[in-house]
Amino acid sequence: MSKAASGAMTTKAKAMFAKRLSESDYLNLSNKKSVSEIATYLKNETYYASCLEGINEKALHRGQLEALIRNDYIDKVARILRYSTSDREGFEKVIVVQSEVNTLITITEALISNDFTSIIVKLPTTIAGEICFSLKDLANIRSWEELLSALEGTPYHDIMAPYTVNDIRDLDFTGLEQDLYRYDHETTLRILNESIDKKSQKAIKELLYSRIELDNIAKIYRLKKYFNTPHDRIMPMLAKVYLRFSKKDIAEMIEKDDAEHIYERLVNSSYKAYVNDERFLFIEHTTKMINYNLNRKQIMFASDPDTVLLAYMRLVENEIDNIVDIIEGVRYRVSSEEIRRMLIY
Amino acid sequence: MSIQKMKFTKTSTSRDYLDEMLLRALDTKLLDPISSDDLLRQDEEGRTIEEDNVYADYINNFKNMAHGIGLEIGKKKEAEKSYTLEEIEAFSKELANKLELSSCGEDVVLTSDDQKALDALSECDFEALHDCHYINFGLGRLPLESYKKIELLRDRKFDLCILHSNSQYHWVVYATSNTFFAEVRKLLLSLYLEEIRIPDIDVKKVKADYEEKLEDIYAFCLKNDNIYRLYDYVIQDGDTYQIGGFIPAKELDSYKAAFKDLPVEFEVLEPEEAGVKCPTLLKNNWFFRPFEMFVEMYSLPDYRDFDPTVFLGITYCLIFGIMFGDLGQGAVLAIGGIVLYDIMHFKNKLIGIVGRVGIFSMIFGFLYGSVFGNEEVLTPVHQALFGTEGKLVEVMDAEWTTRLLIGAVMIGMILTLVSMLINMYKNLRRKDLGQVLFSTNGVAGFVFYSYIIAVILNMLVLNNSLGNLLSPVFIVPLVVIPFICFFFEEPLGHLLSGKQVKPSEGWGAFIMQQIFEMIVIALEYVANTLSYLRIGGFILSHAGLMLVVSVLMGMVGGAGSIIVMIFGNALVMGLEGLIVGIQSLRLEYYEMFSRYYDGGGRKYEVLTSLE
Repeated sequence: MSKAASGAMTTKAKAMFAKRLSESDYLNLSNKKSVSEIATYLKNETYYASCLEGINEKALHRGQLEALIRNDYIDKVARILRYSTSDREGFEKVIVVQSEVNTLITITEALISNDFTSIIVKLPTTIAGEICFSLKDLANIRSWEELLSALEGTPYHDIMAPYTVNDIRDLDFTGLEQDLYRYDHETTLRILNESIDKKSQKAIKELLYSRIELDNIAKIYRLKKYFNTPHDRIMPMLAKVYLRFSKKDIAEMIEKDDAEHIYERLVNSSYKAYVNDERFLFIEHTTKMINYNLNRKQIMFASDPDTVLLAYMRLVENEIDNIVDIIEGVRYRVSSEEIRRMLIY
Repeated sequence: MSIQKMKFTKTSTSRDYLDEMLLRALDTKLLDPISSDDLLRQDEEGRTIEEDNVYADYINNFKNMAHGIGLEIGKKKEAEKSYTLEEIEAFSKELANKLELSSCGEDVVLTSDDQKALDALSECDFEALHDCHYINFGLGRLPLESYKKIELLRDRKFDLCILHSNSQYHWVVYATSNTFFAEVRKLLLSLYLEEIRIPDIDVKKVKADYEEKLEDIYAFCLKNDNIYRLYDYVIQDGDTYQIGGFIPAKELDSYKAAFKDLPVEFEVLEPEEAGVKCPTLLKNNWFFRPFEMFVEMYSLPDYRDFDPTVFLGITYCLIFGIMFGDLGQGAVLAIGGIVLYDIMHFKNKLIGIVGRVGIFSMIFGFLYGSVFGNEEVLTPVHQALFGTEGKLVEVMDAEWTTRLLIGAVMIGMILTLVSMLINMYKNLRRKDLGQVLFSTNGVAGFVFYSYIIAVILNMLVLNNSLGNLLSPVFIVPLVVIPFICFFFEEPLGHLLSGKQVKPSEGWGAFIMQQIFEMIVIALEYVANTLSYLRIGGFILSHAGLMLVVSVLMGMVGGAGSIIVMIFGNALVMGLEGLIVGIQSLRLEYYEMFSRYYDGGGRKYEVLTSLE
């Protein structure tokens, strides 16, 4: 990619990030009393105006609002990619794989709970042309066998086939979920390794690996604190990614630490610089906060377009999570102070 | 070229003819009425009419109802029959009941898109849809993405039809059997279908049944509402009801003629006798009429004052023409402005002004020898007409730069002196001798400023041929005495008008204040005069910009040079034309109006119908 194109893409991503929701936006949103008020605010006062144009906010369903905002995420990335040359296609593929994996996890959940309506609701129709399986086939499946047959010829068939059981309720969902996420991570890394230069790879790997590693730590914390899972069963559930914690550290965490020690170990590790001085809420809040700060640092200081774009994507995902948290908080009548404490910005 | 003469007219009649009299007054579109409260404050005898206007509520009600069913009312000017309040109330209730049946629930507000979908669905009879025993129908907004998902389903237990779409939704109606209705509805709701209740009655039918009567009653209510609103201007004195207001003197007869078959009495007074502020209506010829806009923007003149429009028009055209001198560009402005404003009758007065200043721009453009930035094309014409070697005015010649700047200051001096003369004339009319004689814009100011101009001219242009003007023989009467006049302007003015000479704040404070005032006055004379330098500056900047366009044309060459010429000229006309227009207006307001014009008039606003 030419220097000019790379500069344009970086500048565009940074300029778009500058339009993000501000602290006062979050304050106003958390003070709203209903989903329609939130939609009205987002439509009239923020940069979500274009994606919410024409909606009837008075009768808007929260699911529809979330869907619109999530679709806008894809538009935002596409808008930045317009400034790039063709070798940036890799990034689109990253989003597609992420979406495919999430769809298959949702469909499996739906099959287990025998709720076929939610299959169709969760189908990613906005990127129907990009994904590797047929949405039409998926929309009409009613069993695990039909699902595998719909996935015939895709990498997902080989990942999911070994999980076949007589009764779908006995399916090892955690293992399947783990394998699908692993495929997502590995594909993302492979795609980026193919399409970006060596210099960018280090920063990008740090962003990707940090997230996986932090997910691992959150998982260990939960398994130990809430499920009392035996030590030997925890390790296989984790993605094999080690960045700031070695394999030995993780093994020690599983063997010796209780939940509180795991948290202490996390906030005193080399992630320390990315932990805000706030009261502990729940482990995912802390790991998300670290991720947010890592990405925030990259979008502020990085100059290569791949790192900036990836950081931008992660930050937008975080903003969407914040909006979803606000919607849920408002629906369940959580106080605005409590809602704001959950937000990461 | 003046202010229209006005008459104050009181029109009176009995209660029986009051409403008709008011409607006729309204129809004349001549009366600028004075509210009854203002008239009563002027020692008029009588009282105001206190009656509740019930028709205003009905008008709002009918408007809302009509809007709700997409009906445009108000086309009818005159009601065919009269209605009692009971009849209006009964009709209002009946229509409200019908509309409630045809609505989609009390809390639901239908958007125009919803209405379009309902209109499309009304092709099928709503009542017939509700009467089906084995098929259920549902209506709603479905997000576009959800519709795509439905299309993926193979065995659908329902049929779906799109009624209307926008960028976010399809408005769909679905039909399914009673057996599957709950399941289908659950599926569609999970796909974010926003349901709209299918009304029981077709709005179109309601429209057709009630439109005519609604129009008639609305027209009747509107007429009565207008009458009630006019009651604010009516004084009741015994059995007599009176409305008072201002009318242009020349229209008095046609105003009276409007009431010829009514038992109405008129009393006509001069504006001074009315006891209330007389409105101002400017009267100018076709050329200067657009410039009234600039006077109105500043402030209309008081009825007893003079109309500055003509002086403003002449000076504005001159200043603009000098600064924006180009025969070609001026012609574009002149033709555009005159065609749009005077021939096609566009209402915006600014367009008229553009046409007029364009003419002056052409005149000065001709004198500068500039046509669309081409500085050479008129040289032979100048040589033939004026017998010069080159052009009459060589704007870009270094020698001419000084001449142009000095010329600009000279124009400023002349305009300042004329402004002072106008100020003296204005104050003479007001019989304010203090202002005429002692103010900075009166005789004292005129003498002082003329002397300064004479000194400068003598030194710079006439090589002291008028002798030593700086000797005390000149300085004492032409500088010292005027400054003494400025200093004691207030007490001297009071002396002439027979008021108390001692300043209200005491002599000490007065003298302190006046010392600073004198410094400000001296600075103002300098600043105001130098302000006109901008005229010369803009002549140069205009020529400079067009030179850039010419150079670019030369660099591009061929057909490209024509494109550069068109865009370059358009850009200069747009940008510089705007700036020059604003700067000329600035000179009018700050340097001239501040010397002779007060404003403070009230606009003549005739009474018109509310609809």
